[in-house]
Amino acid sequence: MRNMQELAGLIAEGKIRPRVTESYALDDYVEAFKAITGRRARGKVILRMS
Amino acid sequence: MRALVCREYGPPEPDSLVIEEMDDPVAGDGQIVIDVAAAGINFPDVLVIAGEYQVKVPTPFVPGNEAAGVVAALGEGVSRFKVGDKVIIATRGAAFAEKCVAEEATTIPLADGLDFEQGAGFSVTYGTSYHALKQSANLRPGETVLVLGAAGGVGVTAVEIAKVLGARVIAAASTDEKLEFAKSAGADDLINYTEVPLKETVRELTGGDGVDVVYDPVGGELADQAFRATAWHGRYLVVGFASGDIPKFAANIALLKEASASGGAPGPRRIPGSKCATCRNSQGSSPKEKSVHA
Repeated sequence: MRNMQELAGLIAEGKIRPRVTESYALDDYVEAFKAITGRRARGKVILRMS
Repeated sequence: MRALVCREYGPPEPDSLVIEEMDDPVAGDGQIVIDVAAAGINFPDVLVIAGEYQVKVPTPFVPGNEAAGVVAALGEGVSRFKVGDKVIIATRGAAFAEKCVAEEATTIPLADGLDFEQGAGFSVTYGTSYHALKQSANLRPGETVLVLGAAGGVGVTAVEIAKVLGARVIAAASTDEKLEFAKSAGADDLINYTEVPLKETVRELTGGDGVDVVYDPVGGELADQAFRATAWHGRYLVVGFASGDIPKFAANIALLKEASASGGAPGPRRIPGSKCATCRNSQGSSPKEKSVHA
């Protein structure tokens, strides 16, 4: 877990920043996965549950 | 609750992957249940759903290995979190659902300044890149790293982590748009490998020496060129095969350069305590059989 804590420290210092470029509602999961299989994704593809 | 369920191996769409109603999960000892705000999709999820990952999960199952949300319930013995806390969880499956169980031990608070979506995309990518570059490759300041798939989920975190570790980053990707993205994450040099030859360009950029480390989540045809572009004592990190093809390496190249190829396993992950150097150092000769490492 030390790695995760060190990474959290890097976030707090502003040295790394998760980049979410594609975010989909759960109902649109087919499109969400196409962003990954189509290798279009830049950064993270996220599925929103609520 | 609603959850994404893989009913049978296949592509990530109906009828293999469908939304279903399920009972809410229950927190056991040392576990928490969260209301999931968002979950992160990673390339291996596609392989797991297709039944093509190195670890096969029996169907039906709920895929997904990372999420962010709010603690809804605590199991016995949980001490670090309370109901209502915002957290990031890393799991072995079950994250693509409205509620998810996680181990307290692998849960961290949602860092200040991150929203739920960013938190949901934190663990697997940064965990993989940090472990691979820092520990597997022992990347040192002043070294050069070639990151393939540099704009992808895990690739862009490798660009960031390599910069934090003081290295020079050469980003490789298939479109200029992806390369701009990698540049915004800190990449020093950009190679569009659909337009220029990878091996020769890497050599030019490094004065003929080649790169010290290759971070490869793509595999396929690029791998051979990238391996040939490593420097003396180059370290090739096998992270994934997003191209769909598992490459083979020319062993004579390893000999010529005293280069090595090693796996950067997707993390956070569990490794046996007996194999864990950190555990051996801290626990002497009898480490716990299973420890959790990230």
